Amino acid sequence: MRFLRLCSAFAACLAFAGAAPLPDDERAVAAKIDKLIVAKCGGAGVTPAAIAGDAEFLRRASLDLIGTIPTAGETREFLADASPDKRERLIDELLLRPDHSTHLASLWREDLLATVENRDLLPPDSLRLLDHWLRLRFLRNDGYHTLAAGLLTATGAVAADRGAAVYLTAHQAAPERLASGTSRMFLGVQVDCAQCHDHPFTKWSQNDFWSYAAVFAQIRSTPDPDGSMLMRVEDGTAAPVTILDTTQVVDARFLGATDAVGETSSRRAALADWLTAPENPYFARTAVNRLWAVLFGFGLVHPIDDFGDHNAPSHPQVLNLLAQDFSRNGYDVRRLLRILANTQTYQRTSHGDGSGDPRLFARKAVRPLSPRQLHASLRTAAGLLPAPEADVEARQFVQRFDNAVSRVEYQAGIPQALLLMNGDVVASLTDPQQGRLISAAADAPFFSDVERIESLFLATLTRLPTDAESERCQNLLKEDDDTREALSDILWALLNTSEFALNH
Amino acid sequence: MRNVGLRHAERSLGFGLARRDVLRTAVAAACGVGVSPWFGRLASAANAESATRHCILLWMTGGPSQMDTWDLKPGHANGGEFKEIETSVPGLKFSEHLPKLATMADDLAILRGLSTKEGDHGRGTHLMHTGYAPGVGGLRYPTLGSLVSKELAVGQPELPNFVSVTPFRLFNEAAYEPGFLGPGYASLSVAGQEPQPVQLSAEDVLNGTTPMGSRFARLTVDDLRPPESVAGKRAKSRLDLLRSFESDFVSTHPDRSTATHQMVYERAVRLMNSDAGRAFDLSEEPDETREKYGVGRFGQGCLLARRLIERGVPFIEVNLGSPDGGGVGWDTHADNFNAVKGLSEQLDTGWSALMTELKERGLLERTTILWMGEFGRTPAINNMTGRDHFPDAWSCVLAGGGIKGGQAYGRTSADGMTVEDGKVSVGDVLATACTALGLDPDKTNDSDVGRPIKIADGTPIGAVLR
Repeated sequence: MRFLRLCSAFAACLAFAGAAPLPDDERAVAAKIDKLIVAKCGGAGVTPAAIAGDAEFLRRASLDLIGTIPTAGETREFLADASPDKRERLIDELLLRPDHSTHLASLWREDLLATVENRDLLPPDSLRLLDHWLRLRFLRNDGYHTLAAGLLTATGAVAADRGAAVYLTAHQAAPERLASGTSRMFLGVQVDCAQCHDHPFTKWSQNDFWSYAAVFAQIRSTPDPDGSMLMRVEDGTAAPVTILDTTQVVDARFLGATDAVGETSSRRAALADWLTAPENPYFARTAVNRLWAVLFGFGLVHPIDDFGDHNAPSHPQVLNLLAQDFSRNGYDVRRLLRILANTQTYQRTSHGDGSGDPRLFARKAVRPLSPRQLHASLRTAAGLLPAPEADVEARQFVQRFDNAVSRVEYQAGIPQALLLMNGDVVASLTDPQQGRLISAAADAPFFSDVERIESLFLATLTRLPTDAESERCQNLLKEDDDTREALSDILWALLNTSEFALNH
Repeated sequence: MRNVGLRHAERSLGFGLARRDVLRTAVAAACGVGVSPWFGRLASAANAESATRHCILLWMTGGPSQMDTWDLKPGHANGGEFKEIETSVPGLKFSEHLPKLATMADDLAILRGLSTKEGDHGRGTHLMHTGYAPGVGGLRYPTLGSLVSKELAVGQPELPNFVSVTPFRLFNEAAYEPGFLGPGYASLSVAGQEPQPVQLSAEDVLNGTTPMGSRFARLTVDDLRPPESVAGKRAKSRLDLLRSFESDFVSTHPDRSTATHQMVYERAVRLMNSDAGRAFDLSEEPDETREKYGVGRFGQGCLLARRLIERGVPFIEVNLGSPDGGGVGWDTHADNFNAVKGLSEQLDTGWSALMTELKERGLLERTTILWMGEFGRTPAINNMTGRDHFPDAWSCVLAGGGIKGGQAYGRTSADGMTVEDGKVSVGDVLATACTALGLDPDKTNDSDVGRPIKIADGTPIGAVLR
């Protein structure tokens, strides 16, 4: 395992050396965004915060782009690098790592399945397949439109899109569920409420909802003939769709469209074309708003799936600018994230006095690590690779945090604090004998206590200890006859800090 | 009443912990005052206030048979083999297997006209716990315990506001979760093991010793204590270290998330270290008391509920009938009568002891008890001497604080197939429980889609309210 870790660190170095600085056209977009953000701050009488230090930036960029904190080695290396474009190259390198695709895949999987009932009971196999499919899409980066179209038109008949079919079958191929799920995910609108009555706050009517649901009325799910638990998805004759508790049959109609969908053997293929057409006003804006939220917690429109006149964007010009850039550049996810991560807005410090409207983006928001980021970061800190997606321990850990955790505000409760303080996961990572980080720090030849303490702080908090912190830990190491036990106590405390649990 | 209303208004600003306290901590941290309020400020504040109203949900996993508990049909073909017995209320009759509760009928209001639409375990469990069918409007509805404990909680208690004893979550996970209220309103789960029969060896008999065994079900809170390797002194030294590591970050990042993290850790640490955590240690009770409740998980869970209510916990859910208890639980598709008889004995023993002891302590009038499962069971008896799922006409029970006991509200037909009078929905039942607790069921919470959702969507049943 240690060898593996070294290999991956070595590979990271190579990639880092090859990573490129920011192209000029992207730099121009980033600058425009910063200008708009600063202008709005000025209007509100708020001075934007200073640019974050290297360590603060490195931790944040790693969490946001690869879903875990950097290792102590990566941190030392980044801090030692004196080149002026090192942040640009780091962003590029993180975006090319396989972990980046894994991170985005798990975020998208959560959101795609947010409208599924009892998703904890879905067969783990199907989750793994969906994850794998999403990961490949993000890895290839062949345009967000192919991701959307792939999910909507999957059949599961060929190996390549079995994972995508899980999206449809997890919604039980039910028209009203897919209407609700796809409209939130790709159109950024909530039409669910219009299922039972005309939407009170927005323009959506019950007729709109059920007409859109009818787009999915051809879909049938059938058991996969290979005998697995998986399902296939076929298009058949559309069953007539009626408005709930009425006998009124509605024609299939895309959301916000005036005309009914014409005769077609596959309405969902037509939906995919309509959705990803450059003139569709919803698709690109919804996508860039989601990607913005990956880096900033809050969306420009927030909640991210609630666009509409009732919920205006905080920075309409930024949203338009990004949407335009996104659709003109082949819906390139990696380019968009690269632009955003290179803005000064993203790189501002999170230090502050706690005041101010977070949606001004004048200062980097303090927000919780997602349960998945937290689990991965605990492992990274302790010298292990992030757990594979299907890992049982990881799944249980994430479930203990509940799936509905807010991405902008720390909401965990007493059971979660008890889990982190006394539970198995942290106990094994901080085990004085078996813990990898503790062994490495205790056994490293020529390491002084000061260096041992430094390595623990770098591995967990991505920074060196303050003098006071170092002194306190040195005293502890002196007082305790057992170095490993003292190191275990220090590591336990570091892993339980708010500084560790929050993205800042 | 006016005071109660005011308190609600204050609490409604909060999110798990009263917002003013979170902000106070944030401000204190920003000013460098009391940067680490661990143990100090809050320890003294604890217990100064606690909830004055409580709710217990007795949850019957599997779907309990109304025909063999509260709404018997003697003489009809659907009636089955149980006899009715008189209760302390003239004219009101229960099953012969609920004799202790029969003597306490003055405190019980039986709702015999409950009618719902979900006959699937998962969907029914969700409906009855939240008031809504799963997935309606794309929302994640909070479970009753989260909703009610959010309203009843006062101050910064040492114990969690919502404790769930041996919940059986498999039928529907979401039915037990805080949904759009967020994990800050999640329950603290208590796991349970049935008693292990104690085998007396010949030596024990000769020496008059009793081997270490578990005469009583063992109830434990996950991760309440540090691992044994981190005993006493080390545990304290770890917390001291943690406190010292927190100070810089908390003062440079006095945001809500930081403040909440601090607050949650403080409360968790207090629960771990303080006397409050001893509430979960049932061995503090004399054996005779423990026996009064029944030695199984449900009985011991009822005893735990009493201990928690004495210490101010607003909401406790106690489960009876999870299949790993050895039987089929309340899901009596086969051998209905033997199963229901056994479960009734546990129910009767635990619940009656709970009400008796709450009453002795003057706590019953402040504690509203709700008994129900995910649905009722078919009046017709199938060819395996069982009864199947039946949501059309079934019973639930309200008792204690705010409830006008001593009555059966609603009536089913002679064959038990339909509700003839006093038909009520799940929303009505939940709204009634809220009203009995002094809460306004129409009060709304903001859901994650920004849409306000009522605590309970129904009409309180005036006839069973005091």
